[in-house]
Parts: sequence; structure tokens; C-alpha cells
Amino acid sequence: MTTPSHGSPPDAQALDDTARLQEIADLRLNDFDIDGSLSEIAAEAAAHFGLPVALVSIVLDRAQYFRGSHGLDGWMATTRGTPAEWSFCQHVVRNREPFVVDDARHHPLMRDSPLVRIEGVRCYAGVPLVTFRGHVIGSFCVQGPDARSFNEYDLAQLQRYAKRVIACIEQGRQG
Amino acid sequence: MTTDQPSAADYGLTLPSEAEVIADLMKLVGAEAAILAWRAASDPDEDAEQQDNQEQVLLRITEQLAARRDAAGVFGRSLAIRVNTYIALSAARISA
Repeated sequence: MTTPSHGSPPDAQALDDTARLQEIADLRLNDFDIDGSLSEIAAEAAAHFGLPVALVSIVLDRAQYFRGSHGLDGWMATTRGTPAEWSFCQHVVRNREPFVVDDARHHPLMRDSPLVRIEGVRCYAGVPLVTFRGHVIGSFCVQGPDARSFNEYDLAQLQRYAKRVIACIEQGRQG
Repeated sequence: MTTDQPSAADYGLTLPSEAEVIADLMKLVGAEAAILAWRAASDPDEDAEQQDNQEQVLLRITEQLAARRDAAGVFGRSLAIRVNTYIALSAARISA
């Protein structure tokens, strides 16, 4: 089990790495109707953790794109994404490892994000979505409006969901 | 009308200019590829472009870019989400 990160090391992965972006393009995420499958996995994860929101977040160069989701409402349900710099999921991609926030109001990387200040997100756990070619394209995550902690068993469960998500996404490339 | 609904400014979100978007695209894919991608995505109907506001012009161009299957396409989708977020937050404030 990889230890979850709490910050960005100096050798962090840049979001605009061209090879990573080309990998996202190669997956042809919008050519296939995978919304239902990915959102089913998200719904299962939200129920498992007893949290209102679970996301398949593809982290692009300047925005995160919710390719599958459960529990989104308001403007995020319409835009299906947010600017990358607001996101928790950017840290999963930058560090290529799980990112856990027990209480975002006190987290140095997240406390100033509008998702925390205005939208009220408090807890978050996300794990990398790693393609068969080894690129981290995003995060599979759960989040909620109250502070809570996550343990290693929780992260292992998230990894299992992430593997199912990647298997679904990779079918698009092979198809 | 005043409202307590947060604005795009409260979220720290602004719309980029076309020049800024082109400059960012050049950094990502190189000048030649950026100009080609931008020209291909821009509407040749200049009259329509003049009638549209900045949000609509950016949205149309970024969504055209997003249809590409390369890094410029990912850049386009990324910017489309940012512009749509700006529009959604602005609309929420107006309707509050």
C-alpha cells in the first residue's frame, strides 16, 4: 500500500506533460458511452463509504473532467468539471499516489480552494487512475461535507474501484 | 440587484482573452500546430463572431478544439470546462 501524500514533492508530475495529455487523447474518452458504467462504480463506492459524492475525475492540463460521477448537484452537475487548481484530484496526479484529506479546512493545500471555502467539501480520499501504459490520467475519489478519517483498508478498497474504472476506460482504446 | 450568491470572482475565476488562450496553446503544442489548430477551430463567419460575446466565442472555439484527438484537443476540453464554469457561476448569481 502506498502511503498517501500530504504535499507536492519537487519532482511532481506536471499536469501539462504532453505525453500524459496525448494518452488522455488516445483513450478517446468521449467516443464511447461509458458514463453509465463509470457512474455505477461511483455509486457503489459512495454507498460503501457512506459518503454523498464519488467521482471518476480525469485531470486535464487546466481542469478536472468528471467522466463518471455520483451525487453531484448544482453547477458542477452541469459543467462536469472544475478548474484544475481548485481540485483535490490534481494532487493525486502530481504525486502519482493516493491523496487523503481528513478535514480540508485545516489542510494547507486545500483550505483556500473554493471547493472547500464555498462548496463545503471537508473530507476527501482519492487514488490514481493508472492506464495500462503507466500514465496517471486522473483520480477515483470519494468526498463529503463532514470531516472524517480514512484508513489503509479504505484506500485498498478505492484502488479496487480504480482498477475497475481503468478496465472500463481501456476498453475504449481497444475498441 | 444584490445577492449573497457567490460570483465567479468569489471563486477567483476569470475568463482568459483569446490572445492568452493562443499563447497557452503555443506553449503546449508549439507555435505552428497551435495556429493551425486555432484557425481550424475558429468560425470563418466573422459577422457571427462580432455578434457573440467573449464567453460564446471562447466556448465555440474551445469546443471545436476539444473534438481533436491530440494534446490540443485535451487543452480545448480543459478550457471549455473553465469557460462553462464561469458561465454557470455567473448565471447562478443572476438568477439568485
